[in-house]
Amino acid sequence: MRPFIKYLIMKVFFLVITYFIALVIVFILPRAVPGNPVQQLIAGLTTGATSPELLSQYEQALVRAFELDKPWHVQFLNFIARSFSGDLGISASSYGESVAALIARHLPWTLVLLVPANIVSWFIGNYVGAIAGYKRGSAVEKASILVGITFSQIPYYWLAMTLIYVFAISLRILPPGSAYDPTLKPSLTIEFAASMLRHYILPFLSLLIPAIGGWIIGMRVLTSMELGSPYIQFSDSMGVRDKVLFKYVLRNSMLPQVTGLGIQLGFVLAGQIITEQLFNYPGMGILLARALGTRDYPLIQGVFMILIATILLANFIVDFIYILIDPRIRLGHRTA
Amino acid sequence: MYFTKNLTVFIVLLITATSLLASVTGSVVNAQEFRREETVFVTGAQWTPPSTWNPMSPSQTWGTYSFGGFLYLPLFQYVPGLDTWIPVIGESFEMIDPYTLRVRIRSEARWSDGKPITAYDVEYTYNLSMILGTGPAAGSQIYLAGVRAVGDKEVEFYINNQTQNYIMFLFYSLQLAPVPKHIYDYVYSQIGSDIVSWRNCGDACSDVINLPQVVSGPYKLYYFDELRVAYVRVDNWWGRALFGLPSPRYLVHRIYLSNEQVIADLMQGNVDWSGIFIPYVWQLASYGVGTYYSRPPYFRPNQILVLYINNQVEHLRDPVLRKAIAYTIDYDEIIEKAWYGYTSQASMSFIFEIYPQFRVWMDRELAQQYWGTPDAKVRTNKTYANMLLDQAGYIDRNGDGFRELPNGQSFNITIMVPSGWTDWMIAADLIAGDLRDIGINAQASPIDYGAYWGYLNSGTFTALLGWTSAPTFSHPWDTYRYLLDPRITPPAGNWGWYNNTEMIRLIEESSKAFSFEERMRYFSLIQEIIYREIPAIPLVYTVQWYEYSTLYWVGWPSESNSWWTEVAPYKEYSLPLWALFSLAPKGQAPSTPAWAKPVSEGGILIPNTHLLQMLANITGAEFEVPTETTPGTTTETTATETPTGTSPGQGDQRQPGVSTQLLLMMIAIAVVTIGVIVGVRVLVKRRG
Repeated sequence: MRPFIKYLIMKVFFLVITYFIALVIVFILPRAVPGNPVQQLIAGLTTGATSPELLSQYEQALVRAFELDKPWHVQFLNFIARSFSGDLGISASSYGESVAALIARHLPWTLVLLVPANIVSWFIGNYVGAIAGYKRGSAVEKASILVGITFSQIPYYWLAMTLIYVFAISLRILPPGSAYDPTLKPSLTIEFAASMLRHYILPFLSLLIPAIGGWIIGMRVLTSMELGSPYIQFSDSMGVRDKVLFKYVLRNSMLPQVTGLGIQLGFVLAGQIITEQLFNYPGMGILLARALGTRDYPLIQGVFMILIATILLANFIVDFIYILIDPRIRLGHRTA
Repeated sequence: MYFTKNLTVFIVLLITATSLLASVTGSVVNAQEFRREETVFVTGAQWTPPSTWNPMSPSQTWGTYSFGGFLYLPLFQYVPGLDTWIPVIGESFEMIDPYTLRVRIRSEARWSDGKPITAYDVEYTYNLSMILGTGPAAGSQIYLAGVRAVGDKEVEFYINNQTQNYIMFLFYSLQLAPVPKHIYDYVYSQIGSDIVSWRNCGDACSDVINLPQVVSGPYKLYYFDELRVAYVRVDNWWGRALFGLPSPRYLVHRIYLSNEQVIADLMQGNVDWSGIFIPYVWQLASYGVGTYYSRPPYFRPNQILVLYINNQVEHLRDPVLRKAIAYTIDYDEIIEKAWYGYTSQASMSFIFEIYPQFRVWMDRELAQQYWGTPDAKVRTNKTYANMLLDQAGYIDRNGDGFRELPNGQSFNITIMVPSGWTDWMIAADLIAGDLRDIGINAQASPIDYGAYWGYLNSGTFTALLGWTSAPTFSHPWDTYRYLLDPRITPPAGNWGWYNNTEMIRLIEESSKAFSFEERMRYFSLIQEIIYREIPAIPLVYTVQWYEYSTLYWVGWPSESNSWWTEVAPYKEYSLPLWALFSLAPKGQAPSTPAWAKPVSEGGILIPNTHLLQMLANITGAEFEVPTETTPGTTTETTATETPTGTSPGQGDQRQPGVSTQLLLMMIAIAVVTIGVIVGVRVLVKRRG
């Protein structure tokens, strides 16, 4: 077990280093490009008739509030120190609201949209793809390839716009966007749940359909490759039943797909900027896009801090799941 | 294997079931929080999640105060489209001596918790602003020496004698919006200067100090989430007897992430009032969507769109070059292609001559002399522009197709615009093309909005499109100051980084001049400098974006209902609020507020000339302005408005061909997919 512990310690060590470097980059990049959050806020006030003195006073107050008058390293250390106590700071673009609260309000929408879309598409796509790979040359395979390629090559934003145009603008059977009806207040009622579902269908489909195609294509290739392996050939010539064979093939060719799903789920927190924008769905993608656009340093840092942690952890966990589901890796470590 | 199979079937069934359930129940939703007939949905002013409703904060959510606000009303409010002042919380004002402005507060004015609004609130607001450096009176110390309550309902503002700038003095004093002393004093005693980040959200959120939101306006915060901020009417609002009440019980600002969604919702009646740019807006008329004018220009003006050429760049400072640029720009083409005819050309004098009351400040002889037109609007003439450059020695010496500077150096002009602002991007492209037409190496450069402000504020650009501030009661003084005062740096003003110290003197002295002749003399001097040096090139009027839907609400301000003119939801201070006072639910007859007339006609509006007269009296000057008094008209022709407003679905320009085909295609794909899955299962079973 000793090598395993060593392996684990190494992994954790690299995880921490990677995380720290990522945070430094996230901290520096927004500050390195032109523009800062205060300029944006003041710019918003210049659209009317305000006094120049008032604007410059506001500017000074905001610069003080966001510590922009302090050197970068001081800002960075303060940010790290505060984040250990769970304080990610105050957003600039939504001045007064805490970054943590903004993330907490946007995260559920992203999870509700992306996690089911990822998982459902993974199951459907892999299942169809596996059958297609197993039944080489059959009509089933041809159909799946057609469907898979069509689905995976549809640009998801084009599909989203088409769905909106057809179902919301022309047929008017589903709403064009937003997460729920604007006349309702979120509550635990049938009406609200129904409204949420009606608003959920189109964005969900626009993400699900292209993703299914991708998994089908990938899984078909993996299954075909697995079919060529000696143990399958042997079992086949021994007359092992199709069902049993298929199970073997499925389990072995699934391995890379598990990694894929893990990584996909890790990225879920980043949201889907274009889909969210097209459907006016208030998820993390939008929060992040808006934070970057308004140079909202505290919000950018907060979102990325959580996002990078999730992606790194997802990869880390996938590595360990691998060890659990693939004995070859376990054995490899033992002989190493 | 079985697990996967069953799960797949289960998921397919689940999706089908939920879709069915949703479509069925979706049609019987009736427990609406914001009943459609009681709610106006507005959009276009707030693009980020709502956060703070505190006028003392340097940045506030739409609806609070500085920016489209109606929670905290100002004492008085200037309306450029009507050239009058609304006495809101204040009832009357007078200069009792050359140093003191006395304001009477309405006896009926009350906070939403029933306590009277007093002079002590005004005094406190000023003092707190001074302590914090933010709030309604921030930055006023240069112009105000102090504010003192001389009774419950009388407050005096004292001018700062060092500057004696009456214009800014009145700008700050009259438009000051008081906060409730009894609330703010308590919060300040608890958290001190952290009060600037106090959110004042009543029971809509929780904060370090939770108090009910106490406001002076007819709405208060009701609810907010990441997609909406909702205000509820204060039914016992103190102004009810005088102003009436705004018609909608709820005012809900929907927060969008893209304009396309707004247009879709506007067409379907899910938005009533919007402040966004919409191309081909007239095509929406069949959906019951109206604009201020039913014919071009469709919209009212807001500010002036300016081509700023960086005055810090030595070789771009040459007035001849700038003059050539002004003459090569095809203004009509920009108006047509970038703005769909929504606007008109601006005057080189930077005077908002589109408003009749400001036209008088244009020196017509001077304009004629410099530009050949009495209103200083440049007539595009590329031949003349070429000739100017040839004579000044801007010649293509190296044969690359572009002119070099007289000293032989090559140069280029990059016009920066925020990317995503399609109208601006088109305009910048057209201008760059016009410049290339006369041999100037120029390109349009759409850049990220954040970077745009970064370059503007650091002065590292050659050219960009920007704007000037909207006109106030002192126009054109305010615009000249915003545009040309070298003591101001962006973003507070002077976006072109213009540096002419003579301007400081002229701006200072003209702020003290109140007889017509004297003002005119100063403004002529300033105009002459502008014509001579061309610090920036005005292009067109920016537009007050304003589209309304008549599916649920009627009585929107428009050319046929021109009692109100400031209609974009994002206009400053409380201007957008009043648009809600003439509305009525569809099916009822809307009425125009009776108070919205000048005092001379039995209303309560105070003409701006009264204020200018007051200033002239103070300084002992003669004041006689030959004004044309037809406010609210910006077009020479007025079309007879055809009644718009069709029921949803009517006039619906569907193209059944395309969408039906697409639908069939999708159904086919769905059927194929399900067929594949089912077929595969059957086959697998058979082989097993």
